[in-house]
Amino acid sequence: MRARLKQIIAALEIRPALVGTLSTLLLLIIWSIWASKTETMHSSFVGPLELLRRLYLLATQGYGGTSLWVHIAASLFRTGAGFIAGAIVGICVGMAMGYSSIISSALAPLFSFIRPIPPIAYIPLVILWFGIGEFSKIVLIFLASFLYVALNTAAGVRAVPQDLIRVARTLGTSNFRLFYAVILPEALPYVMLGLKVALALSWAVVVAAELVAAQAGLGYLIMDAGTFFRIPDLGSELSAHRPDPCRHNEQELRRQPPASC
Amino acid sequence: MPDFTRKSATLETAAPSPDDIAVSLDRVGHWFDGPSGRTQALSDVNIQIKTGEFFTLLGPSGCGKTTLLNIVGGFIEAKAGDVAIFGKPVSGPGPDRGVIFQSYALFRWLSVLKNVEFALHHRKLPKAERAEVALQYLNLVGLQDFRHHYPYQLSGGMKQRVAIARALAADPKILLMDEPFAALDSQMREVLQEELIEIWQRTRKTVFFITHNVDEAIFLSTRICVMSANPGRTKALLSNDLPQPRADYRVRTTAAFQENKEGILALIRDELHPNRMRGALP
Repeated sequence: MRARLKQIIAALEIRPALVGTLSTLLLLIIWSIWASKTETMHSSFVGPLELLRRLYLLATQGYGGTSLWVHIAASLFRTGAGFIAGAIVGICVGMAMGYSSIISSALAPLFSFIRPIPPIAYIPLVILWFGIGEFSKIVLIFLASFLYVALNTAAGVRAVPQDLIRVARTLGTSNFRLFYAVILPEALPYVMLGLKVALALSWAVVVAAELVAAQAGLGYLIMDAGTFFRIPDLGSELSAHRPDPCRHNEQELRRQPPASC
Repeated sequence: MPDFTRKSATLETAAPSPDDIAVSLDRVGHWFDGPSGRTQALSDVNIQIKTGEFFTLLGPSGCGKTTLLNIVGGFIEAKAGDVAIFGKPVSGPGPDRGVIFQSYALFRWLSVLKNVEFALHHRKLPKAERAEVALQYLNLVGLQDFRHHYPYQLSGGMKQRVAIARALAADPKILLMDEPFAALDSQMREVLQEELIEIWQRTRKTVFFITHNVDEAIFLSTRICVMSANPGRTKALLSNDLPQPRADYRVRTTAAFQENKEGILALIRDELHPNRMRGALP
C-alpha cells in the first residue's frame, strides 16, 4: 500500500500539468456544489457554470447598452497610454539617474518621499487637477508606472560594468552610441523587470481609477454592477422576466450628462 | 644569474626619437582620497615603451598596475607627471589604444561576429564590408566557426579570444591588456599566451601587458618592469633576452627561461614580505 502511494506520488511529481488540471477540476466541483446549496434568486454567490453563462451574455449583449469590448478597450487604452508615457519618461530619467550621480542624488529625496505612496492615493488629487476625464486617468497610470521604470532603469545603468563602458570608449564609440548601443542593452534586464512590475500595477490602478470616476471601462462596470446589486444579474435576461427598478434608474441616469451623476 | 639590470640600463641610455616611443610616462604619480585618508597608488613612475615592444608590468596585487593601465588608457587622469602617447598628452580614451580586460567585457546581447563588428563602426567601413573584415579578425583567433554564437555559449578562453579579435578590429596602435588570462585555467592560459605572441609577431602592435604571473611575463615580453607596492613604483626594468620566435611551449622549460625566472623571483621575494612578523602567536 505504502509502496503504491509512493509510486503515485512519484508519477505525479513529473506531471505538473496533470496535477494542475486535477486541482482546478476539484476546485470547480467544490465551488459548484457549494453554490448549488446556497443558490437563491438574488444570490451573490453563483456557481462556475452560471458565471460562464453570464460572461457569455456579457460578451454577446454587452452591459448597460454598451458592448463589453468597448469597456475593455476603454480600460486598455488608458492603461496603454499612461504606461507607454510612463515607460518612455521613466527610461530617460532612469538612465540619467544611473549615469550621473549628481542627478541621482538630486532626485533621491523626492523619489524616496513619493515611493511609499500608493498610486491610488493620488486619485482625489488627480481628479481635482485634471478633472474626471480621460486625461486624469492617464496621468494616474503615468505616475504609477513612471517611478518603477525609472528606479529599475537607474539600478540597471548603475550595474553596467565599468569595463564594458571603457572597452566601448576605446572602440571609438560616441556618447550617444554608448547610451543606446551599450548601456541600454546591458541594463535591459533591469528595465524589463521595471516595465513588468509597472504594467501589472498600471492595470490594477486603472481599475481602481475607474471605480471612482468613469463612464466606461472594466472598473466602471464592476462598480456599476456592485452599486445596483447586479452581481449575477449582468445580462438583460432577468429583467425580461421581471421589472427591475434599478435598471430603469440606471438608464435614466445614463441619458443625462455625466456632471449630474 | 644573468644581469638584467645592466643590460636594460644600456638600452635606456640610447635616447630614442619621439616617434619610436609609443607610451611615455614621466614622473607619474597618483593617489586616492578616501575616508581613511590618502592612499598613494603610484609614485614617480618613469617608463618609456617603444613602438612594437611587448612591455609587461609585473607586480603583486595592489601595486598600482591597473591604475597605471587606466592612466595610459585615459580612463583616469594622473594626478602628477606627464603621460604621452606617440608624443601627444593623453586626454581620454581613444581608438589608438585597445583594451582587453580579465572580465572579457563582451557585449552579451551581440553574437561573436557582431561583437567584432562593433569595433569596425568607427572605421567608417561600408556596412557590406564589415562582416567580412570582422570574419578575418575572427579567423586570426580561430573562432570563425563560432561567429553566430553568443558570449554565454563560449568558454572563458574563447571569450577572451573574441575580446582580442574585437580589440584588434578597431586597429589600435597599442594594446593594453590588464591580466587578460588571469581568469583562465593554467593550461588554457598557456595556449592563449602562445596565440597572443603569434598575433603580436604578425601584427607588430605595441603591447602594454599587466600580470602578476612571472612565467607569463617571461614567456611573452621583450621587456619587463617589476613594480614594488605601497606606493607603486618601478623597481627594475629588465630586457628579456629569450630567443624569438617564442610561440612554442618548449621555451618554458629551457634553462634560459628558468634563469630569467630565478632573477625576477629574487627581485620580488624581498618585496612580498618586507616586514614579516616572526614572533609567538598571541
